[in-house]
Amino acid sequence: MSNLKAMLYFLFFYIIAQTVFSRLAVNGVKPDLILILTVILSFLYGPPRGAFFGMQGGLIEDLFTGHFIGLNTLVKMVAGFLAGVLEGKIYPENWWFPGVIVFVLTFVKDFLYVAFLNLLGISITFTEAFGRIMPVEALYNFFLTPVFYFFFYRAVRGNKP
Amino acid sequence: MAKRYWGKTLLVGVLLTVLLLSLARYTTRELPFFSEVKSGLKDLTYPFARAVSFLWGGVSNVTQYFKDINELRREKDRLLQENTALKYQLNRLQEVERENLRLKALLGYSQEHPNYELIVAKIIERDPANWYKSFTVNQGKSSGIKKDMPVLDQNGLVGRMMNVAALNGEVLLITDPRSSVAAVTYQGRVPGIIKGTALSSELIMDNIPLNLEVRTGEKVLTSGQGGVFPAGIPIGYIVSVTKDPSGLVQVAKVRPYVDFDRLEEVFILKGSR
Repeated sequence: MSNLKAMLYFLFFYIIAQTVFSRLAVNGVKPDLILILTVILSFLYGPPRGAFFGMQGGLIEDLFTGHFIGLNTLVKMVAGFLAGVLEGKIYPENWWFPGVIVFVLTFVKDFLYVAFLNLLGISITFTEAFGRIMPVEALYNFFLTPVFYFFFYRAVRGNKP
Repeated sequence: MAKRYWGKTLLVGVLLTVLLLSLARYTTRELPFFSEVKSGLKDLTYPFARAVSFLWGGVSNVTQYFKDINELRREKDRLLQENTALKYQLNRLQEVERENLRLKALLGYSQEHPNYELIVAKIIERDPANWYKSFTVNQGKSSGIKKDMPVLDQNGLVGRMMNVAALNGEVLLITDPRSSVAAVTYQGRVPGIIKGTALSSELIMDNIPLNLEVRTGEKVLTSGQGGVFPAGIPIGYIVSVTKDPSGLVQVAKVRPYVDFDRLEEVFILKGSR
């Protein structure tokens, strides 16, 4: 997959996230489609490209947010790299596995993000973040991932997982 | 070989982390350049957001329609057809009554504040991130909307205009951790600062002087200090009060009057402060 194509996918996912999935919030918590796409692509392409895909996705989020440019870029880059490390170690035919990676990386991503926000003077308490937002988001992401994985696996590998 | 790879990766990672964190620190306040980029992106995606908003409204109407049909069928099993028709009519009247109450409340506000004009704005998209609380409305510079204009609904304060593009504008909600509003309690006139927590149902009122008493259940309103929000807009009510870990001030948890998860349209307060 070319970087331009990946960029367009990220842009599309961001728009879908802010128009459709923001209306489908569970308990006020929305899924992170950019993380899901980052993990899926990284899982299929490995760590260096995974980190780059994460950077692309995070940069789009940052540019739309307008504040703290670089935070999402950094956090998603780390998530992409970590997901990419598993490429070649787990059979990609395991369609449910990216969901597990997304579940775990949601906590990692949110932990890093909240920690960096606190470093930059935006106060969010970890107990509330861990207790009320992250578990719901992780589960939401977990259930959504296979839906997108089927599509991208087929687009990249040419057959069903 | 593998050692060298990981060493190189670590070095690149550390450098990028330092670089990106510095950039994030530098852009803590929205810079004009990034503000323009953001406005451009919002304008670019506006037609799509508007289309989805329109389709969503259509889908909601259709699902609502089927819900109503099922409701009527259940009623039909229990009651006579005439009775069912009357109930349906009653539902419609209640809807009108709700709208009437909402408009009366707004009219009341407009009459109390003749310098202000209320602009109705429909929410077309929301920030997908869970740590930020903002949404985009279908009113922008073309309708005379400017940065920092207060946004409210019939229940109370929603937030303020943050970034205004030509056809749309972004509203920073009071629940966003980047937001702070000068507030005062209704009965005790105790001042404090309302800050967002990233949770829709909870705000923090801090910087409350230790010597002043704040009671649970007490109303919290905007104080008018700070120059952004006019005084007297309801924000929420006090749920609990504790001493700040520093021991110098008190901190209260405030439940907002506005149901941020269910908002569909808001009102922008346009006019002189």
